[in-house]
Amino acid sequence: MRYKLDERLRGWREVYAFSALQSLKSKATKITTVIFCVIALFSLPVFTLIMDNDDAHAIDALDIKTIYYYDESGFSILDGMNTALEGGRLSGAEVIKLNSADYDRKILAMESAEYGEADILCHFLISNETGYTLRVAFPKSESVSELDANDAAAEIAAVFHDMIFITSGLPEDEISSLMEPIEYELITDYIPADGNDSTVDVGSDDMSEINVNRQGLTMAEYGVSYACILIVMIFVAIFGEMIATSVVTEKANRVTEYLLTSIRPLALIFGKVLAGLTVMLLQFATIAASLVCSVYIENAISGRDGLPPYLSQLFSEESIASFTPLRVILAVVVIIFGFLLYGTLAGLVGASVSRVEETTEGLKGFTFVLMIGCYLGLANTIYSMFDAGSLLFWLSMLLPISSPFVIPAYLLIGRVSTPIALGSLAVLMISFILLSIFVANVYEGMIFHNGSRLKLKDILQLSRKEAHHESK
Amino acid sequence: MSLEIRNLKKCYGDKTVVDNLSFTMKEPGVYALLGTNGAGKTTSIRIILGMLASDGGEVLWNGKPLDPLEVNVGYLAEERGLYPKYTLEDQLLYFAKLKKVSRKTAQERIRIWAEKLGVEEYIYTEKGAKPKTADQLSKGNQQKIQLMAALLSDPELIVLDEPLSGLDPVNSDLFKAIIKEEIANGKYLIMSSHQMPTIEEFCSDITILDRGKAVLQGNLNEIKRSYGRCNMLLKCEEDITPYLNRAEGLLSVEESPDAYKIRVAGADAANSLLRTLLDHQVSVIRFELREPSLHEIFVEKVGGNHEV
Repeated sequence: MRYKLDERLRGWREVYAFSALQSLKSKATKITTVIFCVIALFSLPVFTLIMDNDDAHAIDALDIKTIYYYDESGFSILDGMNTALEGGRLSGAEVIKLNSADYDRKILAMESAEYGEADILCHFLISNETGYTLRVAFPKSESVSELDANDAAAEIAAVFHDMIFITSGLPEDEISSLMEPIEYELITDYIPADGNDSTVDVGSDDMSEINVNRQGLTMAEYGVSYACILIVMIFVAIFGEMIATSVVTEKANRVTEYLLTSIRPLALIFGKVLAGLTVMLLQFATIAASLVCSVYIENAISGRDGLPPYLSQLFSEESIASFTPLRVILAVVVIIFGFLLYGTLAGLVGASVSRVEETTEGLKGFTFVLMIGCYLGLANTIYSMFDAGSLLFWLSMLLPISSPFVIPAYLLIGRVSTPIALGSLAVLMISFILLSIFVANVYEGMIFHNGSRLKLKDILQLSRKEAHHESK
Repeated sequence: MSLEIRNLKKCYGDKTVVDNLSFTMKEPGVYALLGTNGAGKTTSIRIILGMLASDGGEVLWNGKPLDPLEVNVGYLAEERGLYPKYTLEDQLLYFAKLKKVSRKTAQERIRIWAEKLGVEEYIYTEKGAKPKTADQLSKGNQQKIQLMAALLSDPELIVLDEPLSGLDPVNSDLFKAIIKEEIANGKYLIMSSHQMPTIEEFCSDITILDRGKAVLQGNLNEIKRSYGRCNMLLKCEEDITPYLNRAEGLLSVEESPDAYKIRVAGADAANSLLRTLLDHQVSVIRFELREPSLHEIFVEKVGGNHEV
């Protein structure tokens, strides 16, 4: 008997409601949700306490009384180092300039185990090969600790670096520009020297995004997308395992046989996948709510408002500006279809085995596909630090096995344009529909199979047989 | 109402597991599908219920193709199925909902059936107590819950695959009473069983399958009649071996401590032997001439080398 699509889907709501309710009631769901929520709730306060502790240590004045220095760099402005160090961790220290003979005497004295003063000795050098060098000596007696000596050296080197630019006579804003790392971009379209293209509207959202794409990812963007890909992957893996186990349990306990007297296999798998998705999204929402609570707790502890600085620093102005409601919705829809695609695949895997204990073995194929998708996304993220418009970028954006991981991450950091994300979503949706049709065709044959695990070859044979039935 | 199965066929690769199966149920009652293990009974049932696609033939309900999504069917599968970790009421309500039974009606029916089958204590726990899950029930009680699931929607067509297997005599009688009740209510039942006395008790029509083919089909009484009264039981005080050796029309003779079990060509041969014994003043203690049992017909048709 041939059924229309609406007949094949009849009853999915009942399957959905029952499966979702039972999943929510299950101990496994409750325990994992509680664990994730607790982690989310306390992550920011704990992290802030650790960071503040480090910061407190970082702003402590260093226990150094005198800074002796011998200058071979030729910068007369080092005479003003005393002033330059003010406001820093060495602001209380006295700065004394030495000549060559005093320097030798001092360094010999500091080698003595009896040297009890909290002094350090700086030697500024210049050479054609290595540029400027700062050599810092501290007493062998450890009247100044190695850690403090190291922090002092870093601070003096930074001050020295600034002073080099100050001697050039440049204004402060130019100096701060000079301090920035140099970025480059490759272009193929003509852009006039003044930066305004008369033929292309560079002010448009899409064009600016494409220009951004041609630059490599920053470390912060890399970190955010890497974390985002991993988080989605973990949830997809848990979700897939949940669907596969549910299908195998029904099959192994022979409940499927009873259910198929009332509904078609497509309704069964569809309701089940949607139920799993709902449970996952609810877990996701609960964890997100815990994270929001975590921000409030963190604010109460630190006395700050909003996101802690170590989080807000991760998002560039461009990414925050591109975080429009449309793109947020797009990211959520891509994740949902990613879950649906992987859930359907997991359902197929579940139907291919006959016993619950074989589920892990059956999930190998699912895990393999998941890993390829995830690694493709991660590889693209790494490669995008150097070249953001490569073949790998397009592959990971358009392949339905990797796009659910990459697209949300790239939407979050503002590194993918809306049309590309929409195109990727279209490919993902088509793939899901095709996979669902395939699964619905073979599910019937697979569900009554008992014995050894069905291999891909067997499943394809079943599909061909079903296609033959349909054509008759 | 009527159920008509026409030329059903199902193949797995080169193997034909159901080969041109046809039968008709024109009135309520029980139709028996018999056969050895692997004869094709369960596959036929799955095709009839629309779970499996056939490679040929059709199943008609009131002259139209039977659509399990439209026709209210109840099914008790041979290999029983319940969710082991879900509460009994939850899963029964779910099964009823799939059959489009309202929650209120389902709850009422669950209560009635639970009382009838004596499983209220498992479905309804005292306040504060944890409801029972299927894996906490014995096999027999699980079977009762499954029978409830099959009958909750008050189906027009009921398919029972080995309904009495694994039941103790008390529960077996309970199930039989329910089956009789369903017959009295004008339901159409298809039953598959290896317990021949049960089939004889309920079924008016049968099909015996052997390797997917129907080797015997029709009304059970007519089939028996067609065999004639050919099974004779004979017990005498004296040794009757010489008479048996001389008698004509005896197909086989089996001696047991209780009596001779003799297969005769027909009633005339049996009567002739009895007359000879009486003429020779032999004291006949027991003489019985009857039709073959379903068990005997079954064994004859599918051979004794099969596992039954």
